[in-house]
Amino acid sequence: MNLSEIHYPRSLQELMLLLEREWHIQIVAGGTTFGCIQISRYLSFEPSIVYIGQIPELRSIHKTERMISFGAACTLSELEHVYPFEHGQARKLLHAIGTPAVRNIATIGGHLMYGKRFLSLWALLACFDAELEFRAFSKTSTKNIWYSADEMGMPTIESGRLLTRIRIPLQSIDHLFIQRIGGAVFPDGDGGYLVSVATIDRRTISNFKLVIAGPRAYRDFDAEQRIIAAPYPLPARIMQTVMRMYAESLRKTNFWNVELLLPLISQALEALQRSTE
Amino acid sequence: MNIEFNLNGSVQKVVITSVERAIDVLTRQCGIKSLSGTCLEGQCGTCLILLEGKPVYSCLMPAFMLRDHRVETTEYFTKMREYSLLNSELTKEGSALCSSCHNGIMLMGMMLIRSVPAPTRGEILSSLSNVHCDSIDPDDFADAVLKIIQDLGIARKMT
Repeated sequence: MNLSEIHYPRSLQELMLLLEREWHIQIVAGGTTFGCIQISRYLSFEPSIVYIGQIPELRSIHKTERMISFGAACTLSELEHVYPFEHGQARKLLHAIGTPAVRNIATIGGHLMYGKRFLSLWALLACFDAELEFRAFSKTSTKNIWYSADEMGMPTIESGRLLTRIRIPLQSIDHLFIQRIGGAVFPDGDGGYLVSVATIDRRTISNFKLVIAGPRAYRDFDAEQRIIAAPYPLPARIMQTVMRMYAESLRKTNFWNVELLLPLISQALEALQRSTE
Repeated sequence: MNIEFNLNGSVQKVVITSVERAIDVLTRQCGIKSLSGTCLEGQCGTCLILLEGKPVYSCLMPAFMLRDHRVETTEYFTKMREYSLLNSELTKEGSALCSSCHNGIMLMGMMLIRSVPAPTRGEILSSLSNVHCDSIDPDDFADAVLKIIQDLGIARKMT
């Protein structure tokens, strides 16, 4: 049983100074991941840990005309009534994570930085073009959530950087399709989510994204581009072309079950056809 | 290390280590008897506490996260009038609470009665998802909670 030194920074600045000084410090926000995975009575952490759940900058939610931004230490419950989770289906997805008692301490930062696989909300946030803000001591960087997956679709987490905020551009959503696939999502398993999102503007599809995320992440940018700017409802020939593109790119991954996923993609597109502007 | 937190209305000073779960500190050092926490995975719901008024599983929480927080356990509510009303209402409804789910059910009920201004039936049923017990009929629980809230509301208006 190895005991760890525990730090309680009260501000982001204090936290950054600590991270600068101690490179191998372990960050704990909600702690549910540790609690769930470690089934022994006593928990085990790195020799030095920092609890970030009481840093106000990491708990705040801001909304402007163009985007919503929430701190990485916001709990999943705190996000229930904010965009995009105010949308019925997105909230249903959020509610599928644990129970309210889990969501009251599990944080969005911990959810996105799990590292071993993509958890439940990742595909949805990728469809909503979420941007992740990271801090290293002297600089801040932002990247689209999609780029936290590598070329093989595996999760990548760079060490020495702290996820501080998640920003999501506000957009009108005319189509949102969410489908659970496979088995367990947490702590491991072959489960995941297929999510597609679209905006229809004057009978033209102005935005379309379809993301599958579980053990790996998948997206076909070319197929999306074929749909964007297409007339709404999608003409049959575009539907056929897009389905062919998805079939081909899924096969290329050598990972995803094409026979299982193609019908779901087809369902997502049919749901898009039934959407109302 | 020494930490302080507010437990059931009074300040608690405890000595914790990084390896301890919150449930162990609450039961061993603070003398809380209502928690059992047998699964250590947040599955059974017998370790439910209110952290800043919201239900959480104390078996999933590292003890160091208690620092500077407000924690309530079932013990906090047992002497309150609403508690005995809820207890008798649930018995009247025919829901004999088993010993393992008693803590969670009563804690959820008291949270709804005391903290949520006007809980909907959906909110009441959703709160029960924190407690994994088949011995209580969710509708009986919702009826009992709604009845007490209504009765107390009438009583408050009359005084």
